[in-house]
Amino acid sequence: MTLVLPKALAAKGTSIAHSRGALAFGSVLLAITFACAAALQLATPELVIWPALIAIVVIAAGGVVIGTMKSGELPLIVAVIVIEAVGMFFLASVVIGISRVEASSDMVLLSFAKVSVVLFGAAAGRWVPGIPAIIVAYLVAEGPVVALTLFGLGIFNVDWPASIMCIGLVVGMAVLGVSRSRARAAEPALTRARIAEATAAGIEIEKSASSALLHDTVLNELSVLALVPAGELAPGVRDQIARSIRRLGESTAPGDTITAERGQIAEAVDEAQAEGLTVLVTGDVGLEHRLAPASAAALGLALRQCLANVLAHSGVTEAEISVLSSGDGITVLVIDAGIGFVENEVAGDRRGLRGSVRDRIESVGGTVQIWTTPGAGTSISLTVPVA
Amino acid sequence: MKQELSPQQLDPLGGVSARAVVELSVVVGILVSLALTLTSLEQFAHPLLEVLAFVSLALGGGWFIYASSPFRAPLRRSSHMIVTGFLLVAVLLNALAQVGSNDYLRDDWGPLGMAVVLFAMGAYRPAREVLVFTIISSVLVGALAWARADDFTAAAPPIVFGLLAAAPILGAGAGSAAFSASLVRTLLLWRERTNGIPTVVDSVGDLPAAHRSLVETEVAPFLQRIADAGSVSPADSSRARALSNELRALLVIDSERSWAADLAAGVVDSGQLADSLTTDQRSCLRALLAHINHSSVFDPNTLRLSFARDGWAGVCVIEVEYDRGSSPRLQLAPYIAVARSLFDPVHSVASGTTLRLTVGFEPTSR
Repeated sequence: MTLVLPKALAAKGTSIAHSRGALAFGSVLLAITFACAAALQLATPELVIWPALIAIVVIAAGGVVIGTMKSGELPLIVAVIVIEAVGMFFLASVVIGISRVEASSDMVLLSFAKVSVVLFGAAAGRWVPGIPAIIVAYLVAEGPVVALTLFGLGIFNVDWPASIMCIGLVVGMAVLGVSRSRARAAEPALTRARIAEATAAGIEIEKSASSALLHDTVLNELSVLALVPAGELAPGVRDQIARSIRRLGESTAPGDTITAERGQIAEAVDEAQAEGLTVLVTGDVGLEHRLAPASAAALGLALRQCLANVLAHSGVTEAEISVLSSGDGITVLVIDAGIGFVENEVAGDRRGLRGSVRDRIESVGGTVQIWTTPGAGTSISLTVPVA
Repeated sequence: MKQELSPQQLDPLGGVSARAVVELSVVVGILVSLALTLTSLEQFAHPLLEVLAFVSLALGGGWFIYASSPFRAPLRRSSHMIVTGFLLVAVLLNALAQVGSNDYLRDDWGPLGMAVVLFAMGAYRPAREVLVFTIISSVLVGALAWARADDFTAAAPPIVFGLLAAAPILGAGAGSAAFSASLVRTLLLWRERTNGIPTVVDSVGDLPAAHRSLVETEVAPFLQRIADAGSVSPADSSRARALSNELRALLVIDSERSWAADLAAGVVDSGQLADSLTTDQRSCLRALLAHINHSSVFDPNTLRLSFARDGWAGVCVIEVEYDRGSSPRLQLAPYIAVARSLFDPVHSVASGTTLRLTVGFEPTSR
């Protein structure tokens, strides 16, 4: 998702919304004009007002055509112009003709109908240039009425509501265009920032994975080398160093995963046993094959770190792992009966549990739970969703 | 902060665009009302009430302009109620000012002024709310005209006067609601379509981690040499310890380095609250800070960003110097409008030559 609507889409979306708004406005005004004319006819049966109702329906038909048009076809638009002009002519003839007081071209019923036609013109702005459409619609609405007054039917008065609606819509559209350009100037910057944020998030994930891997590999080996007595290295330690260097090379490219022919869980157990930890495995290790490669790799590396922690910090040399199916994922429990610890009191520079276990599992959508009490052992649950 | 399905909340920049239309509507509404008053002065039996009607119209329009500012976004229902309330009072006072002397309904500016002003409300409020307010207003205004039917010279059933008086409000309101509904539909559709599409990300490239060069230039060659030799000397053990400590320290620095550090000359974030912002919040701050860094109005060297806790909430304060005589708030208006849809609260104060922008947020775990 992006933060703001792109400028091109904003212009299009707003144009459609304006069109629907103008159509609704015009339709409601026309409906009220119809209702008023009908009420007048019922109240004064001696007058012949009903033809005005037909004229209003004709004008409304033009609005319906505009509202249902699928594209701005010129013949259809010309047809609408003709329909509206004819409708306005007959409406004006009837309304001016039946007026008991001095009839004028700006009578309320005529005025409402003219405003409706202007609004239908604004609605057509979805298909044709908006400002010319409004002006043409105004001329179509006012023209027939003015023509009648020229032939002596009623007097001509400037129709302020219709004129103001026309001018207001034209100025409003122009102002909105300028205002939109100014306001949307921020849109490219916001979009760029969104992309930069996604890039930064990608870098953050890679950086976190890289840190975790370093912690599991070279940092472990450096710690071991700092402690071993000078002289020949035990074969296991030498193999472990070679494996770490190889793993570091394998994971250089972002997104790469580490492969394990025997399975990640089995290899993690083998490594821990090579370093002197006795590991009792229960459950179905084969469940690992249900995982996506990236998830399996993350689980294997996190498990390695958990077992390394048992060996380094728990004070015991035995651990139990249990592999279980858990709904949409698989769970590996790592249990030891060691000295335990308080998670919140782990020093800030000890990144194993946070970076190599928690961050790594969470990066593939999994969860980590830790139950531990000083003196009462530790249980860690690693749950990873299946592919 | 609860988000409503209003065009402004789904697309804050749309609200900034529409502000000019609000200003225009209010000016046109007042001018039309003034013109209709001046052309029918003889119908006003109570000039004081007419003046008060104008005051109410101006207050309603003024509040609409005030509330639609990007610095007060989003425009809430309470503001909609205040604007509608002032305008209804204006309609009532306009009618009362003509009691006993009102010959024609068509020169009553109340309903027309109200319709013109409320026309732009659909850009800010949900369609359903606009429609409800419109119907209530129309019924009240229509009933008022119906009650005065005997005053008018035209011979027509009372219902006709009620319908004619309500027509501008009902029409403008229906148009406004249709505009709002259509825009919201477009925005929701766009969000639905873009939600599933990941943002195109440039190549991650080299990881800018502080520890990387140490591993490549020192640690890896050291381990390779040990692996090849198959033995260690006392000096190797010391070297391994030193490299281990150095690498551990760099890993900690990398993990605690804030993303915001690259965006401002000075960043204070001891609680690592910058990491607890949502993706959209971070994007918004990135865009705002990028604008400040590249605008000629601001001095990027003075840009300071600080994060702190205020109880459970997080607070981010951005301070920067700007050129005297420039309008820093105007420059940042679109960004502030977007920020107001993502942070709560958002305050900006420009004093002297310093702009201080404060945004509040609920820290989330990433």
